[in-house]
Amino acid sequence: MSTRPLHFGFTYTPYSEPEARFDPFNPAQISTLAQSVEKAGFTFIRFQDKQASGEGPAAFARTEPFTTASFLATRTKRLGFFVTGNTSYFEPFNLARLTASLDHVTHGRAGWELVSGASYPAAINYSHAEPSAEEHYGRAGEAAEILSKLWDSWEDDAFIRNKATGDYVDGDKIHPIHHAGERFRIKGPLNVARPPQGQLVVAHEITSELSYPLAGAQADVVFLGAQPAEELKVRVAAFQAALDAAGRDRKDVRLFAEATVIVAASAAEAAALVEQPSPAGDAAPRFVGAPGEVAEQLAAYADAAGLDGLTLRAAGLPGQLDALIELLAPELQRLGLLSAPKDGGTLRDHLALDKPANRYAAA
Amino acid sequence: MAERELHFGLMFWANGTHPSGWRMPTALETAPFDIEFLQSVTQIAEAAKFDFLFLGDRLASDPALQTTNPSQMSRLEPFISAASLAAATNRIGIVVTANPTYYDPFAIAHLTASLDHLSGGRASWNLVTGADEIAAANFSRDEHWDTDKRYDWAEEFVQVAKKLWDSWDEDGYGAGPNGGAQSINHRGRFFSIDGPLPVRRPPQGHVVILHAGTSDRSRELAARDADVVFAAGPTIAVAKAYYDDVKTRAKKYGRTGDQIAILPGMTPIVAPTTAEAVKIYDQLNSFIKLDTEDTLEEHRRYGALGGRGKRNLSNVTRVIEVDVRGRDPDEAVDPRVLKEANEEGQRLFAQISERTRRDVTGANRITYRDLIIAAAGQGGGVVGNPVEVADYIQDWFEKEACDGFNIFPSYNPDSVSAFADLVVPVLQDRGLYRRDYSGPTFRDHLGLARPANTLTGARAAAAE
Repeated sequence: MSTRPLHFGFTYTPYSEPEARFDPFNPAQISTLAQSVEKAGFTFIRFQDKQASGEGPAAFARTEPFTTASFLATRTKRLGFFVTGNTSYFEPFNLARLTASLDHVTHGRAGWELVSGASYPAAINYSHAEPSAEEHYGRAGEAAEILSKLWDSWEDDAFIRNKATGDYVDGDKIHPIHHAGERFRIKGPLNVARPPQGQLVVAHEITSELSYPLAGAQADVVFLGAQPAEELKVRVAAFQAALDAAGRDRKDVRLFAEATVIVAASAAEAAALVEQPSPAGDAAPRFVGAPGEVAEQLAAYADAAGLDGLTLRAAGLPGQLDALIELLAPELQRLGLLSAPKDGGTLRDHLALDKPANRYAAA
Repeated sequence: MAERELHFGLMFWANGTHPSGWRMPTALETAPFDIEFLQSVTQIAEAAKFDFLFLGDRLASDPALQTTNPSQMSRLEPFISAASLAAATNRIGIVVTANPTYYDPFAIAHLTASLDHLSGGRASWNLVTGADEIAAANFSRDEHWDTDKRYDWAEEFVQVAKKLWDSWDEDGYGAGPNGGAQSINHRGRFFSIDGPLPVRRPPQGHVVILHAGTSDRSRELAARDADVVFAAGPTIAVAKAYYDDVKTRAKKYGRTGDQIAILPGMTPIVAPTTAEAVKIYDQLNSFIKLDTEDTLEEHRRYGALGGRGKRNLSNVTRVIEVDVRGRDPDEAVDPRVLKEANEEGQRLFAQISERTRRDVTGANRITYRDLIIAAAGQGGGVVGNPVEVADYIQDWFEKEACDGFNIFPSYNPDSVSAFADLVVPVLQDRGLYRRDYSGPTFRDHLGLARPANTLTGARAAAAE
């Protein structure tokens, strides 16, 4: 059996139900959505992004993740935010500023989903040729190292701000990083104070064989995808090997799989809703039924691969989110599978991950 | 044409625009990372019907900033601040600074369009090309590009951003196979971009573009692409010449002068009485830490790091060409110094008198500290009671040296509250400034129409 309670995330997929016209560009509608997800007891919401819209922009129409997360953080209290930042198209210094600042604005509720152009190619919008998958991943790994260093470049107590003496900062606690790697040369320091969490929670999704070493070395949270239980076991084993190779411990990582859920008051009503196409793709497992049976299926799914949590997708908005919140979440809570995070904690706290020490701080 | 109306922006440096503003007893020293505080100050500006809040940005930090511009040393990234401030307000425009030299047009178009949706049409992009040479070292580059390269790049960059904002129809969500979106297929000198953006056309059509600068390239970019120009105007004559020049240049691009709001920076230090305002001025400057003396040869300019020189008597000696080294900063200035000072020195003495109502012979004397601060180009402002400050604003506005001001608050929140509570009502009573917003978007505040969609407009024309 896996962890109890499980951690639950919500993957934002703004597919409107045919009649409802959920509008992903309406700030009031997305605010209500985030508040509902928080109220249901989810630990975080996951905002993905594409820098190109290959299969038609309507399929990926949504507001940009960093601005959206900051906007919604202001209207929520506990909810964590995983935000996609693509290392193939953003400079690491800019990504470090965005992520660190988001962590300040959210009071430590921010996570960075490390994504590269290997899974979301967009070179056509960035004035250069598409690099190889190896190059995309190489860049991602080096960028992740740079962000980690830049987040540490101001020690927690670098600010003095003593009105009486006029001393503003302690220069000895601000550190240029002098990164000189294969692809990037970054002097630093960042011009943002150290994030409240020290280091943001870094997530990575397994999308290819090259994902494992990257996730093994860098990720605190791993998204294993929407896969049948047997495939999940294979992925967990491969990830464990990558984790061992990186010299890290399984207890320092949280593993999630994705599930698209279709819930209704009765199994028959749920079955009637299944006609809609799945936003996650046709092969992905879906969990359909009355609240009690879906809750048990989800628990079994997580247990089969020893996962720490699940990210759920609603098959359509806003009706299926309402069903998830009003029908499924109470059932998950009743079964001890879901426990709402407490007010005031950081995303690290909610995921039971420690705040890392600053690599530059004198021992 | 509608009657001219003043426009105000708030230059939002959280620790104050005065280098020692954070040391004032009521200032919140932890302000730069306190988003709830930033929200509360923004709400003060919104209640005073300000056109916009201005979020500056730099792409590097430097320890030297701690004495010259601590507010710029370390702060929140502006897109992140802006989105949160948008969530906590309803009407005020929000200006985000972003430097094309270190960004891609797709990313900027995406971020700004998104912010415009989230804010309900209140987003603005301050296009800077950045004199921040030390930024290059944070972006894997050997050197900062020269001015021409930066402007060539920026000019194409902004055209691409406009095309990307136009890459979706107004209501093009879900209708048709591409939901009303189309590729832009831009192939230029620097950029090759297919598009479309994964975001519907912004509520404002194009987000408001702000630009600052005095060089020829900068004026040209402003005349062609900017809706708001943030200008430095040391005197009314200089500001007036700049104002006329930019508005004349705009005609070349088929634009009218009233489509560009020119807003110089201004630091009001206002209190119910003149004496109280001068007291605030003195208190702020008393907190400035003076630099140790150096030899005249050692003097170096801080340049982009803020201020025009060190805060010491060596700098005064160099600037006014009278040797004042060794004096006590708090001692009254010897009248002989004024007599012997060069032209710049005469100008500085006049400026100090204007601000402090002090001179070198009367009951209230100018001190060497006053000279140190003035010579370093810091700690200044328009000091006075509400009527005096309003008169200053009205004079510049009516002489068409500006369309309003970008207000620099010396310390927060008091400088913002004082301007809002004391000066704004005077300007409203004089019929120079709005009592309420006329519409929900930043374009509405500026009296600007929503631009037609150039891409779909061209497509519609081709179909006819």
